[in-house]
Amino acid sequence: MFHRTRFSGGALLAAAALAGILGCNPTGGSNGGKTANGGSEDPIKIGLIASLNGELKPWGEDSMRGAQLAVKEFNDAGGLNGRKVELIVEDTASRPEQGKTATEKLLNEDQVLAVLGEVASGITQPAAEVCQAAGVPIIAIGATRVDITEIGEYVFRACFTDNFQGAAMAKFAYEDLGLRRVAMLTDKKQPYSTGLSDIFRKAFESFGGTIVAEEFYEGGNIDFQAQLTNIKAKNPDGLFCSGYFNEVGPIARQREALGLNVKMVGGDGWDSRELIQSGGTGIIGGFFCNHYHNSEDRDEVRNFVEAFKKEYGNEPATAMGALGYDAATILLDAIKRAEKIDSKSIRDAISTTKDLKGVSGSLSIGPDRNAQKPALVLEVKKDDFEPYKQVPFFVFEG
Amino acid sequence: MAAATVTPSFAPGRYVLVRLLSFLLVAAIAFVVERQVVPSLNNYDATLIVRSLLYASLAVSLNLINGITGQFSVGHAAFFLVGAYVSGYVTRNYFDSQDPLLWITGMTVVGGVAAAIAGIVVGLPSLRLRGDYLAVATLGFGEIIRIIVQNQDGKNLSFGGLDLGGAFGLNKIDKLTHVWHVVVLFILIVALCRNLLKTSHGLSFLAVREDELAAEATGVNTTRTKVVAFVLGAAMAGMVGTLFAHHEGFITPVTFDMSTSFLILTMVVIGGTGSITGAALAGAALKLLEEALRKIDQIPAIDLLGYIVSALLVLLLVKTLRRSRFGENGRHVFLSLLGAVALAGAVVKGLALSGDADSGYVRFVGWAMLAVGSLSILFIVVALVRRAGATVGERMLTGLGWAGALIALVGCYVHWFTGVSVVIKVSVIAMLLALAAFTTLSGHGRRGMPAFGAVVALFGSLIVVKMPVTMALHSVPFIEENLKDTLYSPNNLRMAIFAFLLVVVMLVRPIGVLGHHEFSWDLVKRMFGMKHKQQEIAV
Amino acid sequence: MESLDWGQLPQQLVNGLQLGAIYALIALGYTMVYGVLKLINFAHGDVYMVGMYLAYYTAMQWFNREAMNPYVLLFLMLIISMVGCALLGLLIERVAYRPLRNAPRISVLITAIGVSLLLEHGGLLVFKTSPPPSIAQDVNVFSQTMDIFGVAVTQSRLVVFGVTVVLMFLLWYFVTQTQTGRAMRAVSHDFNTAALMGVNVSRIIGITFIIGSALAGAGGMMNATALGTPLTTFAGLLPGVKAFVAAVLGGIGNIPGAVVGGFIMGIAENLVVWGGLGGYKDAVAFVILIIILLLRPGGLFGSPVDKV
Repeated sequence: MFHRTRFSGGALLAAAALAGILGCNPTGGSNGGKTANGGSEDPIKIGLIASLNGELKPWGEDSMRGAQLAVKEFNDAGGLNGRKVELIVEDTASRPEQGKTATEKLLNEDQVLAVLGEVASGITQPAAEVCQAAGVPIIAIGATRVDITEIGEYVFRACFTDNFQGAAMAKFAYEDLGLRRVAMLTDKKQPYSTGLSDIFRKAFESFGGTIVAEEFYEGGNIDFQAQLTNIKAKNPDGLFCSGYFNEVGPIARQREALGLNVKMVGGDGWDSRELIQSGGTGIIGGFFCNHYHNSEDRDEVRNFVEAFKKEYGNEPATAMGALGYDAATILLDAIKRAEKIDSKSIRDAISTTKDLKGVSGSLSIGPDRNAQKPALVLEVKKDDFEPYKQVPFFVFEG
Repeated sequence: MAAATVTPSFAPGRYVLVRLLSFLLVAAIAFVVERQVVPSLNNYDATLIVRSLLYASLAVSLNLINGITGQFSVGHAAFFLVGAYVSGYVTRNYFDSQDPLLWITGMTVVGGVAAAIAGIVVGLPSLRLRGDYLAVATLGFGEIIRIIVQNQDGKNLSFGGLDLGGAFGLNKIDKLTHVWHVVVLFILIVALCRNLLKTSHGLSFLAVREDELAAEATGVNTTRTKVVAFVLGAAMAGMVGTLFAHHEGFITPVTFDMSTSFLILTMVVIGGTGSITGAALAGAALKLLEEALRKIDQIPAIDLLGYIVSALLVLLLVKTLRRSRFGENGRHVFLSLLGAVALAGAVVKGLALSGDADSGYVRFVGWAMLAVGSLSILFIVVALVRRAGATVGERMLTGLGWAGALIALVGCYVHWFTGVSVVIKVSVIAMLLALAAFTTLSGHGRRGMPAFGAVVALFGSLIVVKMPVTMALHSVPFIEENLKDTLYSPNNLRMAIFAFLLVVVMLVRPIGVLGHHEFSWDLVKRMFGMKHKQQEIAV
Repeated sequence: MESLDWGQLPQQLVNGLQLGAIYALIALGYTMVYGVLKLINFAHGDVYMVGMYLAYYTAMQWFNREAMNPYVLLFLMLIISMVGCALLGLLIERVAYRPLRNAPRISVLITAIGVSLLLEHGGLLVFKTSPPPSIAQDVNVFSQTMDIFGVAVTQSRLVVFGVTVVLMFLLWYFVTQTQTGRAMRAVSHDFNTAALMGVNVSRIIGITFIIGSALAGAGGMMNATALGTPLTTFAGLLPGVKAFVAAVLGGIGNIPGAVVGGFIMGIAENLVVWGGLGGYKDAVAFVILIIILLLRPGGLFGSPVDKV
């Protein structure tokens, strides 16, 4: 019950909170309700969900920039017979439940015809379920988890899967590096890391190698000496780190300090130049699997890196820039080829994508709705990553 | 201090009738929601309703432990997690063609019981602890439970090969939750807490909060009370978790980490520790704010800096004025003048916008600003002439208070035309209307009018001071060079805004916005002049 | 789970001591503030985070410049981190805690959580977080590893260990032997009586925050330099909470206790990994906390009290 006490403070703060909501610059809102996406002069709306906040920010931001660049180029080149494409970006804050609302917002409020994103599998999962239920195509940018595209016929992806990535690295480690006894370090907090480790283990063992140890840590940890000491005792000849570069850097430094002299191998989570700084001398000579590299000698890569630099002032820091660009390219190409401009026709057009020239290689969508692309193994050098070898696409059934 | 209304005589017939009627009312609400409201909403709106009500329920359940019983639990997400995971796991593995309504009801019970067991596990050992130690212990329990779940992936580190999906989470949970389930659960939880406080059990909760020693001395079994509070709060969170899991269809450990616990805590603390109304409102409002922020334009970094600097300046100003020889009246006059300047600014800006050629909406906003600004200034003049207050300053503030109420009303109208979800629109408008009604109609709200005016004045002064400050900041080469092109999206500032609110609330009003106050029909009656006689006993 | 590898035990124990030194350094600040104010300064871990960032920016500014001796650079980083953190600590105390001096302890605790969240999320606007930067390995001139009876010990971590122990003794001397330290203990014992006896309570609390935060800054700098930790604004959250556990373990308010607590924590975490339960490493701290709170709430070296 409101008793006779002074309520001023309450009113004060309630007012403050409300003023905060009201503060939404009214001119920023749309002009009185939703605009239909049907008229031929209105832009074609597509959506992008990205982790612009939280631990996946480096990748999310890049994916957004890449996609925006592709859309900008498309519009500058005249759009679809003069009709522009509008890309609406929503933040997922690196959290699955936010990914869901972001997607629902795009679908229901903005009435987008297709969605791009996310960079992480855990966030793509709920988003893809929403899209599948609504019959709107979604092209995942960096979700490498295998079963994402099994959600339904509206879910595609622009990157390779962990099945391929893990197997490719296992093959590379076994055949090219000649490793036989590999230890693994897995980030228990990241579904990406646990998934990749599983595939690597299966593939490496199927090639004939042995996984001598698997140790665990949690993203955000700083000290890995305990795990590395255990690993050292098992006397491996290689160390597979499936986590993100945030932890791989310190792992590399501490590995060297402990005198654990083995080759380090990893997945596309390593992909950031910061790895060289945080890994120090320990990371040099490590190999990881990636989608492409800025220094690759292909026209698409050169043009992309140049345009990206011109637009944002620096090279894309991670491969997600290129994958965002490629995902948008697949979608824009499909919009061009679609019979009608609606979600169903766009979906059908995406599924028949064939040999589209993308930054991360030639893009074809397979029957399982995954992009079939080669992987590029990069070597960590003192100043930069260097392309070492391309692993052509193959199917590994885990 | 809170006041409890004790009905002097107990009338069983009326009691039964009222209970019966309220059950019918709940059923009617559920029916209307399912048949009338939901079909007209899209998925996004439905998710917003579900999320905001679920978080409101979570806040209410934590409020039972933190606010009403005065314990300090910071690991509430753990109970939420237990409910979600246990029921989600069962549904995923055993649900196939049973009656969905029966199943989800059963699952809610299962989730609630599982979380209650977790509540006992956490509550019993924690009984030895008080205050900040209890806080850290519950935080620890929360993390332990999350880490354990995260390791259950059916492989090497899981217990007995239990597979909860590990870090990826449980997916493919059948989506059985309907919006009306959530509405009913919310009403039930609020009703349970509310009715609990009317019984002697509830009073013992309050007694433990106010003074544990005294409570024990008067015969309250404090140990039992605390455990009951923990178990009840946990069970409610578990039920919420069940509906959450069956709404999302996919749950991961990250959703239930420390930051979620902190978010729920923030809701309770901002809403008012001990106020069910406050916790529920803050829970829904903060969750909706998260989504509302998506729609707001990016703020240039220098503008944001300008706001922060001017907020500090205004605070400093008020503090200096408080110490100065001008006294309270002088301070009020000064503040009101700044507020009036802001209103005048609104008139000018309104004039400029009303001539906008491009957008009808902008013209509309311009006219609204023009009208509101001029009317508000008129209010101040009227208040001054009518001598609505003891001092000049009070009169001016009263005028500003009326202006604030008007701004709130017009704000509702303008807000209706912004592009946000209809759910957010309706909630914002409902809150603004309630605020306007409360400040203008209720008896002591009228006495609070100068205070409300002071708030308007503070906001006004913030806007006035901000302009020169921002210009000054632009002229500093270091800032201009580094921040010129930086834009912050308000969505990214979300948690910073919450944290800032939390600190400010603690400094301004440590008891939370609503304190121990509750919404009651008495208040509504009083607002419309239908006061009825009642006996009040201050506790 | 395989059987334990006893041969690795010495190395794991040494690893534990090295990790524990970091917790101990942060725990010292916790224990000081708690000892005097009876407040869990949740923002302490975030002050430590700011210390890491200050060290990083200092290193970025002067690293690879000629005429900058690497040892001088390290010293400079340490000083800037400590001074910066001390100022931040003082600011937090003045703005957020002082107005609540007479408020219920819970209110202050919530404020502390709020300040902590504010530093973490507000820090996103100020610091470089994407991608998380780290201090270059070359800054750390003590990066060699020594082999002592088959146990690998990194020089820099030996330095961290040494500094922690030295600081502990300095602090212990300061608190027990100097005039200010005596005043501090008086305030810790009884606020009002100390004020009546002519102790300037506000000043003493200010000094406590300055020292505690400076220690967190030192911890941040040494940690970021020695380990190459990638810096995010959330980097202080978990170490902060663990350090608090260390402080409770040693008996909160007890200076040597905090350090011993830190070492025990470090060793415990390493032993869990040694036992093959790496995925549960972060849970150990909380398990220890709950056990100690239940069995001996006063901590190992604190006075046994029945309820806390």
